[in-house]
Amino acid sequence: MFKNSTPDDGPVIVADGLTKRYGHATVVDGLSFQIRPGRVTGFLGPNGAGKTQTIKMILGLVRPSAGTATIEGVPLSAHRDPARVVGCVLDGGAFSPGRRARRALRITARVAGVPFSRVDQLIDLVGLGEDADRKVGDYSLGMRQRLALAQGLLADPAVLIADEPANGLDPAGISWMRELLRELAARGMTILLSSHLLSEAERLVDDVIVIASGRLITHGSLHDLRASGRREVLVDAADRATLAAELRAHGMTVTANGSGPIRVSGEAARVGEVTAQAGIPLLKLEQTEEGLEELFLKLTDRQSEVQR
Amino acid sequence: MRNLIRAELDKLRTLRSTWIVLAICAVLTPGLAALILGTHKRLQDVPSLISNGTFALSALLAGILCATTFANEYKDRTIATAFVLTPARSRVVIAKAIAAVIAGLLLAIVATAVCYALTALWLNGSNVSWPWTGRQLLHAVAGNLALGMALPLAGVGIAASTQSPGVAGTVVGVTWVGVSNVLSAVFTFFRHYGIGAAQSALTQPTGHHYYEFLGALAVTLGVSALALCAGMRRAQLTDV
Repeated sequence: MFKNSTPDDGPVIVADGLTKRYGHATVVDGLSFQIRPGRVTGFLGPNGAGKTQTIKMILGLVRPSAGTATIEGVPLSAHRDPARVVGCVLDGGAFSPGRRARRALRITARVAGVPFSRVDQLIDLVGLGEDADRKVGDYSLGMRQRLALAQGLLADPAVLIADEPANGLDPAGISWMRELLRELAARGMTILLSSHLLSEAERLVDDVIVIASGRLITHGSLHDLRASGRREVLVDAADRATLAAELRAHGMTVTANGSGPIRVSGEAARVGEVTAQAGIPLLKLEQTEEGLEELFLKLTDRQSEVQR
Repeated sequence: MRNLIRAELDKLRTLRSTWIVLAICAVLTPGLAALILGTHKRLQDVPSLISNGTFALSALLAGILCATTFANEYKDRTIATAFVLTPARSRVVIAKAIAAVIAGLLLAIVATAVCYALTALWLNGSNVSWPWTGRQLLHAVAGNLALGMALPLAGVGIAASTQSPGVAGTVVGVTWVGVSNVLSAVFTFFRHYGIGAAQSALTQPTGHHYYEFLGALAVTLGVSALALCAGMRRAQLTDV
């Protein structure tokens, strides 16, 4: 399904017909997608769309009612050393509140067969050096998220799956996490992250999977998704009426409200060419495209209408 | 598996509740032993009475500790991390069970050593000889240790089944009371010697007592093993 995928970079995570039912309610409905290696994939959808359930099915924490999920070709349970295959950030950083942070990571390190020196290294990496010997119960949500990220990275896994990792982080923390995840992806780590912070996801992800009501709406590269959205040019001149008339005369769709720049469907280069030929001096010429948020709302609204 | 067990022991060691239970045991078991020694007239019967009361109490506390500690992992949602790192969930539960057995055993050893040492000193000070032979003492200690391991084992199983700390702790207590009542109804020796008969039966080793002791021990360990198996099954089937 990914337009840029090649046989050399086969999918790392494959969901095939994943379905989860609780009684008569279907929370995930025949979800199929593939995630390519070394990419940051945003898993997007409104609240209750089934993102967390899907992530938990991939991790083997929730049993699918139907379908399969594999990581590197097999279910996570079939891997000899799961800690080195996948790391996860779940539930807003779930830790025993009475345990000190460093101790909590050391316990995980012991299970994963990782030396304690790696714990100290990661504590420094996530910026918790000064607070590592405090109890996790005294941590803010943002600090727990950082700790959870450190825990997820302990065994240097090939895949990182994070459910809303930016929750509770302040703007500086979000920026820090973005840089870190980008760096990890650049080193070849495959990252799947769910987020409701669309503007943030837009700045981080390479690929997107959009779901609503447990069903797949779209998936592919962010670039392709954006390209499928509406592109407009904001153009302004001292004589707006002449400008609008000239653009219409060249078959362009023009929206002018009289008090601001004119909106023209299409490409800035073409608009510039037309206005230059007509000798109209421009005050503004700006290419705009639909952001992820607009595209997301459009896609999920369309899904709601289909269901109605 | 060794790493898993060590991690589970680390979890127990790094929780405040473990140390609180240890402190309660450190105060309560010798305190109860001293109370029995100070109030009971027939000092020869005291070792049996101590076995009946104090060791059952320390084993029960160990069982409740292990049950609530494990069930708290469901409450705090840390169990998800454990199951991602070790997708074979039965291995996680078995590691917890082994750690619980080790913890229960250590607690039982400390409680037994402290209480019997206190009793021996008291009897010696009162010019009363220790009423048991070496073999009888060995049997009684074996019974204490078996109970000290069985209840934490059951605690892990019950925690995996209930997945709620409050419910798990209560069920461990209620189950033990229920089991001991059933044993009392079935075995006359239990009726006469109470909850700790499994330990003290061998101190009066007639054939009848011997088989009743073994029966009681088998029931106690069997119920614990059953609780563990049920917990393992539930852990495997539950979405977390």
